[in-house]
Amino acid sequence: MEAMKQQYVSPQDITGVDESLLILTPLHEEASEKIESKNTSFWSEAWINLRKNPLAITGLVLILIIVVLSIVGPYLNGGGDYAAQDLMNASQLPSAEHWFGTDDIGRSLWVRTWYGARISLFIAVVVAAIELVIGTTYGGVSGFYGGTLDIIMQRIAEIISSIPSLVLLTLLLVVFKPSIPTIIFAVSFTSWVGMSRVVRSQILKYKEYEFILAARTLGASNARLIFKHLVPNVVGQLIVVVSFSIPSTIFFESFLAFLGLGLPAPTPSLGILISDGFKSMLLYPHLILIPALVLTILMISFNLLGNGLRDAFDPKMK
Amino acid sequence: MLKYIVKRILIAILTLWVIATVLFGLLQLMPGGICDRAKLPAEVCDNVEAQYGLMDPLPQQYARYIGNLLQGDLGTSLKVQPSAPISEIISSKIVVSMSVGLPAIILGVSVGLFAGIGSALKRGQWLDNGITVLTVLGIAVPSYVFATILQYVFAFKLGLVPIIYSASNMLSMVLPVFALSLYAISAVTRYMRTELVEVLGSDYILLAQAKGLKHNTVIWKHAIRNALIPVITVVGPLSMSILTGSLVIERIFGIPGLGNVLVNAINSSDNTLTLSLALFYAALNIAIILVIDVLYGIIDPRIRLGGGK
Repeated sequence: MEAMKQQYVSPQDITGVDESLLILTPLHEEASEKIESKNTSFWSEAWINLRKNPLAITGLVLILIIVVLSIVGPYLNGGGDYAAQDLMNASQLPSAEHWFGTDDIGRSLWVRTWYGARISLFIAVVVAAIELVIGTTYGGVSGFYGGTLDIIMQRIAEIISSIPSLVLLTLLLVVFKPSIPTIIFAVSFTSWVGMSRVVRSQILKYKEYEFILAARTLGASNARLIFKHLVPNVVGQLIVVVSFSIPSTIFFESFLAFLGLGLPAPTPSLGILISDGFKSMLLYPHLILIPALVLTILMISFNLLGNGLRDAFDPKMK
Repeated sequence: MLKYIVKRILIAILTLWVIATVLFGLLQLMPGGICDRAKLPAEVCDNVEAQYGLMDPLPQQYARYIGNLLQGDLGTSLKVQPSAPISEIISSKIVVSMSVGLPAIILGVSVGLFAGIGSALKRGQWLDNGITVLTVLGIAVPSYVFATILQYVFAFKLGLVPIIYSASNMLSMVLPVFALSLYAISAVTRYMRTELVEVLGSDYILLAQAKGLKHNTVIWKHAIRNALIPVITVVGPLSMSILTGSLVIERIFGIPGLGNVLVNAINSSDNTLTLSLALFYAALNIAIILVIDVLYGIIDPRIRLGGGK
C-alpha cells in the first residue's frame, strides 16, 4: 500500500487545485516506455517503401514473370529445343500450334524467344556480379586510401571510360570473337567503371564518420574497415546501380547482335532474334515485334524497379 | 583559368596517347590480315606486307604509327576503300553523320529542356506524370527498336516519308533524326526536372520570393538559369551516345555515314580502319568532354576554384 501510494501524483504538488477534482491514476512506466511499432530494419524499411510504389512493383512482377517464362517457357510449347527445325512449317504466323509462329527455317519463335531471354538475362546477371566485385573493390580501395593511389586509379578508370563503350565493345569482340564468355568479358570490361565511381564517392563520404574512427581505434584492419564497415553502408546504392546495369547489359548485347557481333547461330538471344527479325521485317513483322516487345518490357521493368529502389533506399532523392 | 585549361589539355593528350598505344596493341592481337582470303602466293603476300611496313619489328612499327598520328596521318584503308587515306574517309563521312546527328542533338536538348521545365513546374500533376512515363519509355527502349517501329509504321505502312535515307530528300531525315533524339530528349528532360526541383526548393529562391519578386521573374531569372548549369554536363556524353547510337540507326535507314564505315570495317576485318575509327571516336569523346569541362569552369567558378571535383 505504501509503495503504491508513492506512484500517485501527490496533490500537494499541484498548487491551488482541489483534491476532489482530480482522478488519481497509477503511472505505468513500463507501458509508456514500450515501443509499440515493430523495429524496422534497413531491409524491411526499404521493402515497405518499395511496396508503396505501384510502378516499381509492376516492374518487379513483370521481371519475375519473364524470368519464370525464360526458365520453363521453352518446354510449354514447341518442345524446348531452340535449334529444332521444321521446314514444312517455316515462316508461320502465331497459331495454336506455334504460339509465337515460326521463323524462316521453321524454328519455334516461342521457344527461341524465352530461351533467348534466358541467355540475355544470364549474361546480364553474370556481368552485374563481376561488375559488383570489381567495381566495389576498385572503388573501395581507391576511395579509402586516397592520395597518389587514388589519382592513378582514377586516371586509369578515366582512360577506359573515355573510349565510347560501344566502340570499345566492338573492338574487343572483333579480337575475341563473340561467344557467351567473351561477351560477358567485353561488357564487364567497360561497365565496372560506373560502379567503382559510385562506391568511391560513397566511401569518401563515409570514411570521415565517427564509427570508422571508432573501429580504427579498436584496431580494425584496413580490409576489415572497407569490407565490414564501409561497403555495407553503400549496399543500397549498389543495388540501385545493379538494377540499372542489368538492362544496359541486355541493351549492349542486343546492340552488338544488331551490328553482326552477336552469338554464333543457332544460339538465340533477344538481340539475335531482333537482328534476325529485322531482315524479314516487312514480310513477317511478328518475327521482330515479339522479341522486341519482350526486350522492351524487360528494359522498362528494370528501369521502373531501379527508380523505385532508388527512392526506397534513399527517400531524400524523391 | 588559363592554368586550369592547360592542365586539362595536357591530361587529354596523355589520355589520347595511352589509348593510341592500347589500340596499337589490340591491332597486333586482331585476327585477319591483309592477305587472307586473297589467293596469292606467299612471296606476293610478303611483298605486300613489306610495302605497308608490316614486316618491320614492332617497336619500329609503333614509332612510325605514333609519328604518323602526330602529323594527322591515320594510315590507309586496306579493304573497305582500298588505299584511300583514312583521314579522308572520316572527313567525308562525318559530314553525313553530322547532318543527322547535329539536328538530333539540337532537337533532343531543346525539347528536353522545355519538357523538363514543364514537368518540374507542374510537379505531381498530370503533365508531370505523363512526361515521366514518356521519359522512362525513352530511356528504357533501345533506339533501334524505336527506329524499326517508326520505319515500319510511318515509312512502310503509311508511306508518309521515304524508307531509306537519301541526301537530296530532306523528308528522309525526319525518322533517323527523331529516332536518334528520343534518348537525348528523355535524358535531358529527366535531368532538367531533377535540377529544377532541387533549385526551386533552395534558400535563394525563397529569398527571391520573400523580396516580393514576380513569380515569372523568380522562375525564369533565378531558378531556370541556375538549373541550366549542371545540365550542360550531360550534353557531352549525350552527343557521344548519339554518335555511337548512329551505328545501328545508320544501318536501319541506310545512311552512308561514319557508323556504316565502322560496321563495314569490322565485317571485312579492315583492322587499320577499325582502329583508326575507334581512335577517332575516342578523340572526339575526349575533345567534347574537354570543351564541356572548360565551359563549365567558365560558367561556374565554384568548379575551377574548388580544384576540379
